[in-house]
Amino acid sequence: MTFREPVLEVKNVCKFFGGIKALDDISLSLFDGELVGVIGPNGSGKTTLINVITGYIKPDKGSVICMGKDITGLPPHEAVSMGIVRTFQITRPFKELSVLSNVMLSVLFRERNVEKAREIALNILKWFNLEDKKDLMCKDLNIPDQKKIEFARALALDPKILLMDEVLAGLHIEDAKRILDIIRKLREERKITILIVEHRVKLLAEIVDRMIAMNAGRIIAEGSSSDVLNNPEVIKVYLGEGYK
Amino acid sequence: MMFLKEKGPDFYTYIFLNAVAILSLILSLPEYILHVIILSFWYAYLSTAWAIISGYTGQISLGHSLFVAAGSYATALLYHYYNITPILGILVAILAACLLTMIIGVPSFKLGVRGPYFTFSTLAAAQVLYYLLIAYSQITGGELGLSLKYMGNPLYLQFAEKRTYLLMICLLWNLEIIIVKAIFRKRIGYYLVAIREDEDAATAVGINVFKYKVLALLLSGIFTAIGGAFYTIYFNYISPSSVASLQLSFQIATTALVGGARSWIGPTLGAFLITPVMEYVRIRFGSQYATLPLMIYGFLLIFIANIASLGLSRFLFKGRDELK
Repeated sequence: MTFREPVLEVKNVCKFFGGIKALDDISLSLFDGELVGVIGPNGSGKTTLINVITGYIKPDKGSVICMGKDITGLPPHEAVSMGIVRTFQITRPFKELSVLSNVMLSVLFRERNVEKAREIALNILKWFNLEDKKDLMCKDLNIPDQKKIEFARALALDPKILLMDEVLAGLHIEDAKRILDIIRKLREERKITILIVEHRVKLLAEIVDRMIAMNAGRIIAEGSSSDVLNNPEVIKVYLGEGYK
Repeated sequence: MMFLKEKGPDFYTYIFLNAVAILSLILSLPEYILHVIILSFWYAYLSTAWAIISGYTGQISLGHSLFVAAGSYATALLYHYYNITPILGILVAILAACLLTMIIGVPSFKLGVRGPYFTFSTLAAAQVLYYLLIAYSQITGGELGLSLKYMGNPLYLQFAEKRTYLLMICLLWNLEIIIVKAIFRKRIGYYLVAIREDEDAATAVGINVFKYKVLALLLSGIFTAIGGAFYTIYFNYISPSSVASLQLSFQIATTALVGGARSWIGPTLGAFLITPVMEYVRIRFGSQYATLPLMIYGFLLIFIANIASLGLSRFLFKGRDELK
């Protein structure tokens, strides 16, 4: 597959938390329609990277460029209006609102009309097989359903670039595969550029075009999933010698 | 007027109270009963306004007397010193509410002042105004307040009939309810509730939290200031302790909370429960046992808070998602 130009560029980004280098001179590009996986041990800066791109954290150095525009430090709601949408590792639904209202709140960003937004939201819920649960409060859902809702809400924002923070964590293999199917379907139908942070490396390897491995705030390997997963440093710091 | 097609206990309550108002306009009720009904509508109106920022949007204000005082003093001072009719005074009251939102709301929302800290800043702001009104007594009449001259001129919204004032506050309340209901059929209503539920999650779905908080406070403040102007028009007398006090701020908040600050009819329900009971207790026992009314009020609050933590409307009409 060939990709045209980068839709998102991260250039020499540094972020320090006190004395800890969470991101240490990170540069990467996402190309149009690409699906990139990011792996790495806990604390390697994966979530911080997402936080910087989506405006939740301002980098100490470096810049984030989206479709030729410098968006460094833009507040999250403005990043959303640029089409940059994220999901949270720990799901952040509106717990006391219904499933339908939760998805509607995302749809309303592009569709101001409440009735039309309701229709669109119902359609999205059908995608996820959640239409029977539309009137339940989000706090009453089980973890897999909450994960699905988190994903559904992100999709409802009609993203151009989707950053997913451990959507598969804690999911049963069947549920995880269903989410992966939806991600595949999405790419085919909507041509969204996706970056996935994930620990379930084998599942991730099945769907990504390219993989990036991070450790201690740096990129230590980048390339096809087989290259990255066979990289000696990646095996040493993350996968472990027994991985094969 | 789409919501006239709605059914359900909250809607019937709304119709019932309008019927009460119409009957009181037709029948010649005793002056005092009429006064209690007017007062109940006034509290219903103020608490509904409070609910916009504090109930739906979740930014608890304990300084709404700030807006009441701004509205009532603006109207009163213009009439007292420049003989300007309260009709224009109301416009100035609205301007004052906008100004106060700029001074109080914009900086605190911009700086991300949340939760108890926002509550304290509203409380402090209201106290500052209270003491300013006392300090500048040459203009405001200090603690004794201002007595406005009564000319009986309808152009100055002065009427001999108490019923005219009932009509006035009832119309204001209806207008407010219609606007609040309209908000909930629009995107802004969803956004306000989203901010209440989780500000960070709201930001994640593209909501400009700052903008919508300011809008909510502005709307709430404008309604409240108009309520303050009504106080001046109705009583022809204002003082810091009646319109700028901490007690009024608390009363507005508790009335809304008792009735249910997240439902459109809740604050009204609270007002029509608390106001008549408190007035009765005050008349019946107030002269002998000055603090008894407050004790009864306290027990009433504890009792209701225990049986219905989200307000009576939720308790009586069975809870449902405000956004359905």
